[in-house]
Amino acid sequence: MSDILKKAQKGNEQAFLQLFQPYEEDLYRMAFVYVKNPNDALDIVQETAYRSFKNIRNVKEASYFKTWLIRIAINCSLDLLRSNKNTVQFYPEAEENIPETIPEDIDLRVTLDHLMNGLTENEKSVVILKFYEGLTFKEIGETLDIPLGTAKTILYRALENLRVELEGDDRYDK
Amino acid sequence: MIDMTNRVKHEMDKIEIPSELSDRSRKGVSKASVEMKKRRRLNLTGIGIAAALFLSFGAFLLLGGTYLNDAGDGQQAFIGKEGEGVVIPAIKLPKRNTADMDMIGLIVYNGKIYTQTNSQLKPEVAKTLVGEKLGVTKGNIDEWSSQKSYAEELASTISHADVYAVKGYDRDFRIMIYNERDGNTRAEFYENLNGITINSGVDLFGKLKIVDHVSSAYWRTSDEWYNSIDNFKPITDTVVLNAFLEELDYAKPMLRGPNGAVLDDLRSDGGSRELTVVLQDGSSVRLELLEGGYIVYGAMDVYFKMDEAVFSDLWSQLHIDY
Repeated sequence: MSDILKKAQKGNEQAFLQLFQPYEEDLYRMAFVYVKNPNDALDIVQETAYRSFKNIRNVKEASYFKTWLIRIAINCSLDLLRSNKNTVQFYPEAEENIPETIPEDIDLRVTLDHLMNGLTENEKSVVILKFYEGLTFKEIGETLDIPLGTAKTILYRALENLRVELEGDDRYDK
Repeated sequence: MIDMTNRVKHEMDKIEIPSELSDRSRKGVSKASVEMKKRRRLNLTGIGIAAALFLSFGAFLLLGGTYLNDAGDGQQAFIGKEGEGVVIPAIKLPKRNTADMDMIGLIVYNGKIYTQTNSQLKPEVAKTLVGEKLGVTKGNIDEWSSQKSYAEELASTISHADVYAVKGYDRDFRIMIYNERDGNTRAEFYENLNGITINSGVDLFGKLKIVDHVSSAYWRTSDEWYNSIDNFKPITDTVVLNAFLEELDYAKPMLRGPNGAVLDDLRSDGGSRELTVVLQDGSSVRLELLEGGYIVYGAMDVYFKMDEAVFSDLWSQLHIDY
């Protein structure tokens, strides 16, 4: 992969697409969760391809390529939401009073609708990176440029919010 | 029980992938590619001109790693017999149709080929540098020209333009075009950077007449250059700057062709800086600096290694405090 990366860094479009296209579906789905419609999600993938190829020289190691792309895609998504005048939250400070270990193997019956409409933007980022992309908290922190503790705090809040929402759904169903 | 990872993946996979997804990826890449190529050309030409010196595919790029090394039929630069200087053979023009080759502006004058360069002049000062008129370019070379076309005096790949010597510079090294039309001035340097031997930096930088003629200098990062951000920062320490410029004359020439990957690695590891030196006559010289003491001038087939201590004094000033 590093040979292909070098070719891409020299401006070879085909080499870059060889690197990019295995991840385009992931990027599209992630974008969709933010913007909630296919047209904007496609725009984001196109913009991610554009920005990433223009800046491919900044990638130091091939192993970072995917998380680097994800970061660009998230930024593109947030940019689009901002341009549509939707509110995008700032990341909160890490809190001390969250449990040491966050239960990640919980069984919350979340749906796509919960992911899209039941989470804040930064909660979406952490939940997707954690459960869809399988990143560690350290990797999530590096990808989103936030402290590791903040990533944990956000995930904890997100899971709590989803839990409350699901309980509400259950009550409503009954 | 389905764990959270599987459940999120399961839900995310419900998002249908549109058939045009790959096409949109390619569009994004294509748009970036066009802009990058345009940017590279602009950096080389100063102002965009339709022009063409037919280099083999991939044979030129300002900061990106290709160079004027294969201009015709395999005339690579090489280390001289004594192992000291770098010999850059005269460009021999292609024997075949050149439609499949890349392009750069050139003028043939006095049996030499002058190419677009990394030194620039602003239209408002160009008139003061206009020297003896040498003629008018023929604008006769295009992708389908035969080799015979190149042998003509003032044959060119650029459109018709008046060609002049440049006041204060050796015409064997540098000539210029200058035209005023409809209130607009078109002015550009062309330099003969082939058919020469570079034994040390003075063989290039001496001709550029930088030392003792500096008016100001500024720099920007490679990322700023790459993203077309004109965030130029002045260099205020003239002692360090002048020491650097004087040391250029003693820099050791290195063969660029086989070291392209080395230069790319240097760019990746430490980044590069674009240094622009504005001279008292209004012209400016742009150099690419790479960490470790390396200097690149445009598409030339050599790059230079400078005394690291002198280089570091300047390099340490070319950073951004966040």
